[in-house]
Amino acid sequence: MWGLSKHFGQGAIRRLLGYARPYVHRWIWIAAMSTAAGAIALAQPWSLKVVVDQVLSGKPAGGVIAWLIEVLPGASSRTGMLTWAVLASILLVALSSALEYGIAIGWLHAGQRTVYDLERDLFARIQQRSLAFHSRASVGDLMARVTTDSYCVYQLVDTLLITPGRAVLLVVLTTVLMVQMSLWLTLVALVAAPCMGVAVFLLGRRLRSASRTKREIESRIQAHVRQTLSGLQVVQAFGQEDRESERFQLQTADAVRAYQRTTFLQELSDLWTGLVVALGTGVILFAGSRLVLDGTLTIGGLLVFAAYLATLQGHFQSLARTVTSVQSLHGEVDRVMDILGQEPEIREARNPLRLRQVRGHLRFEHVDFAYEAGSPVLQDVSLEVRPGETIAIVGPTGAGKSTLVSLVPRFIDPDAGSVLLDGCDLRELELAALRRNVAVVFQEPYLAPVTVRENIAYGVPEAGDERIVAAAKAANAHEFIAELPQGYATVLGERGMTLSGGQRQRLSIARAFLKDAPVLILDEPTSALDAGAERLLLDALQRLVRGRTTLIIAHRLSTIRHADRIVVLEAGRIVEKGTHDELAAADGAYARMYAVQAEPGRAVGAAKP
Amino acid sequence: MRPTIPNAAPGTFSLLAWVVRFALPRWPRLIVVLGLMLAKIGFDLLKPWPMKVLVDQGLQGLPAPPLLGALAGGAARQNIIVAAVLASIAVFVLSWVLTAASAVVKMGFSKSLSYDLAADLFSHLQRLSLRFHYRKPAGDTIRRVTNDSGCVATILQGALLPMLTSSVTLVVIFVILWQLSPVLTLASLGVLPMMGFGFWRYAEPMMTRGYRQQEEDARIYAVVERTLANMPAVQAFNREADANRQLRAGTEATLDAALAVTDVQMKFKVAIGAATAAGTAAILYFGAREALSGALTVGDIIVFLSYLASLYQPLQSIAYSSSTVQGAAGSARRVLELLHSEPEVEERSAAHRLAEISGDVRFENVSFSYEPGHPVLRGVSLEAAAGETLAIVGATGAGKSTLVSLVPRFFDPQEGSVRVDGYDVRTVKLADLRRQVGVVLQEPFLFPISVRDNIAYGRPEADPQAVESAAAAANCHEFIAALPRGYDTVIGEGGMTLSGGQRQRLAIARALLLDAPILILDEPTSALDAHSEALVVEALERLKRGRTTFIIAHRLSTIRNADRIVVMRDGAVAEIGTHDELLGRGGRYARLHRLRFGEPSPP
Repeated sequence: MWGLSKHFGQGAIRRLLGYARPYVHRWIWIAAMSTAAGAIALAQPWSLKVVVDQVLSGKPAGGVIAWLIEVLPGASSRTGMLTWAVLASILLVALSSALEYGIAIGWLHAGQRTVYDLERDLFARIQQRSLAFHSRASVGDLMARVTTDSYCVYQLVDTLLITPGRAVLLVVLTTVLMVQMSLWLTLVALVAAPCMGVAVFLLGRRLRSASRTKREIESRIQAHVRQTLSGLQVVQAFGQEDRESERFQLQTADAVRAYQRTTFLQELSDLWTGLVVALGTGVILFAGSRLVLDGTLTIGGLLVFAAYLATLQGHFQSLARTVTSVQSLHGEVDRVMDILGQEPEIREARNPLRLRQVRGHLRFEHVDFAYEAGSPVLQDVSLEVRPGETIAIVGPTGAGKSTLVSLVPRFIDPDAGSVLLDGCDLRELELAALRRNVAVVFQEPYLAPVTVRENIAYGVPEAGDERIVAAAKAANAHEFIAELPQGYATVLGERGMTLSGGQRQRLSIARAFLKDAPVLILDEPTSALDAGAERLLLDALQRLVRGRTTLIIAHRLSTIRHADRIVVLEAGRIVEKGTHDELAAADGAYARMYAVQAEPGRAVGAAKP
Repeated sequence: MRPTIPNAAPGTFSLLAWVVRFALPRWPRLIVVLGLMLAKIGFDLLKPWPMKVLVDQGLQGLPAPPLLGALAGGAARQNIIVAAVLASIAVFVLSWVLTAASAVVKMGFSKSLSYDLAADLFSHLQRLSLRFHYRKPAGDTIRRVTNDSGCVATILQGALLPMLTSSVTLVVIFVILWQLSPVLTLASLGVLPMMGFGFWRYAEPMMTRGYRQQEEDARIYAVVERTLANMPAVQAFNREADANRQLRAGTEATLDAALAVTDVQMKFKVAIGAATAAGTAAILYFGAREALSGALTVGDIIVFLSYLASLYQPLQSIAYSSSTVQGAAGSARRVLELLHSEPEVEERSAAHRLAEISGDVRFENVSFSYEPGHPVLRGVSLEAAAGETLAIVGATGAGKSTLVSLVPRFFDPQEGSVRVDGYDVRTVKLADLRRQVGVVLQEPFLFPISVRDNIAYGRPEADPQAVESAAAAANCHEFIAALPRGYDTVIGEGGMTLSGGQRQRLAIARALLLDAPILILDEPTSALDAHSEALVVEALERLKRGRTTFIIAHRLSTIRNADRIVVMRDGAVAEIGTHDELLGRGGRYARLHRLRFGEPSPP
């Protein structure tokens, strides 16, 4: 359509318009109602024409008007005709108001629902993407795609389907009506009106690039606000509030200029249209006047013509805008299609296996993984974890520890090799069932702004109070929860900020207890805590680990020592495996790390007495 | 001082008054905008006159007044027609030019208004204490800066200016019409009470429902942000479907709210439309009767009808733009709520400058709570001599971070005071105070700017050599040199491309360059593994030298190296002394020490 496929990826438009399909009857209603409203607008100048021609000048009426005068009671006298003309004008306004009401509500029902369907789809798809995708994407950008860019579908339906259809219909209707009055004047009008669209074509490209610049500046501003507020503690500590404000004002000054430039270009194209309208009206008035003097056109007819010229101009303008306004949706459509067009990396097999009783036997077989091609994060990692065994994973930052454990709940899939649970490749298992069988405790626990109870039941929403309290007790969380203002019904702040780090972590352990999964992943669960808090937590963790296959990333010796085996990872490869004593005796990487931690003062060489 | 967040939303009138107060200081541009609008009204009022002349004198051959004849270059019909047509073209073109010019000026004006308000909000937000930010979802706050700030411009241009121009138009039209026909003028004015009724009846519901719609919309935003920012947890607990349900509930609620708004908007529009229709009908009816009796011409009726339209158009446009105006009213409330939340930490007007200090810090009987009734600090008194290192230990929630946050005034205590070199921190200039306090947090926050700018964040004027020597002292120089563009490498959002240890060392370099006499280290190494820790610890040792240092730590080596150790418990100082003293005392520290470090190793 209009060569749009070269601007958009193949099938993008078709796919997006597909979102409007469920509401197709509503869209048809909208199209019908707005066409009807256009037709009523065409009838409106006629009451004036009747008043001027028939009531005031006493000219004989023709066509429909003559018929109406005959049919309507009392319409043959001049005052009767006047009354009817006035009544008709009121009736037309009432009708168009009713239609307008219907159209507005209809747009909401059809348009907003279409947008929300797309929005939900985008949201669901983004959630399906692997963590490899999420570690690269920025939350702000994804949010903009879901909440803002999704409106492009609404505009697409309007500019591609509704507006052109209505415009073409009404142009035809107007032309028919005009031809009845004067063929000659109609021709003049039809020559003048399309000229008005020309400017849109001439300035389209510059307008598009100007509005792109505008959007880019807008998103820079948004990013800056976001960054500053999320790092506010640092901003305040270093006293940089004024400088951040200045930077903000510099960006906004750019934005104001960009907005003005866009408006200027827009107005330039409108100005051209205005010029053509003025000249067209002039020609029509001049030519029309001659016809009136000749007696071939009435004064009322001339008034109607002048009104119709404006109507025609409006329709031609919206037709001309169709292509450019669809093209201006380019960015939004691209960003939306980017999400819709890519399949989630983590997919379920066609006939997924459903493990009945998971024992928790894990095997990594020659696993390779890279977030970006060329920079491998894991290389040929093979590891077997027996049911109930606890493996501590140690190694320097960036060695691939978190990546390795992320493979188990399939946050990511290996590029080569495979991960097996109880002998089945994870990719053959039902995803939700797999994740039900793997509990994860993150370094930074995520608490939702809901009640403590709901937070503990996060993975098991159907859990009863008894189980929730039992989980909290096992996690050493019950006591502090009981002291909260509303106990388990206390609503946590947006980021659970009112709780201390240790309390939050214990809540997330309670969550893992409640989930009761045979496989457990602990990603540095205690690293953000101090000694006192760690004690309570370690106690809870030891209870949690019991009887579960556990992978724990840790750097505290106290935690590591309790593991059955220790795996040392360096630069994406396993360099050592064994028990604490074996590795400590082996004098390898682990022994070196162990030495550093045992006597940091000596390693640093700055010990004070 | 507690944040005063007004519960009752400001009324319509005070909202409008605020908008006017905000716009007035920009009067030069406001005058240009108004001038252009008024000029356009003038041209709009001229528009029907060529038509009237064309119909009355040109087509119906009524006698032309002498002035008209002179203007047209002769009273012949032909002359009059040509003159009328040309005049109509001229009026049209000029009115379009004015429209274009005023659109550009208005856009500039409205955007600068919006961004000025956004800048106010932004700098206000930066001055609010962290206590405020801990409680407010970040997404909501950002939205207020970037979206809601458009409210002043929208209210001004969507409601106030149209009302003003309508009033001016009304008066001018009244004067002109009165000359033509007093009867018709009165008939068309009879419509005004009907319009007044429309405003009286619907303005308030449009406002409140608009506000609700905005709130619902904000909830959608919050759901999306919360979910996307915590993807690992959502996926790990299989909560995708639930998040989808939340979004669906949000969109349904927003749709309902939008329908409610549209309903009342449309009723308002119908009310205004009905008034317009009644006016048009009255003019047609009485006008035609007058014309039949010869008191009026057809041209006069045309003028009347056209004036009626230009009178009602701006009023109707209020209904058209009402959705945005109502939304803007909601936005304005959200903006005002934020602007009215007083910064808890505020610089006194009489604050004095703080010159170079030696770094003596004293807490005097300090009490603090985030929520009333839940004290975090209770009567803490503590003194650190200049150059001394104090390690602060204690259980989570004992108030360690809160205590040290009082020094750079991230919060102010509700009772007691914090003194630096004897000055109460609340009496000195905030910027001066913070200039004297270096902070290294557990989670180093880096900005998406170059490495150099990150290091120089607290001292933008620092020269490259100073930046590089700070980097070298913080053990950063080597890895920075290995980065693709060295010191000019821009750090990805959240500093994702650097390891935790590298980021922490950059944060240390930043504090080194600031060269402040007081230093706060809030668990700077706890998020690191043993290997990266060694480099960070070494850098920290260099940083601490010669500064008064508060370090919250849990590593024995770090704690032991401190001059004195402060053991906190439940918001109070439980013990204080050197490592050996405290061990010897056999109290809480000795117990902690045994628990943490004295565990018998498994064989």
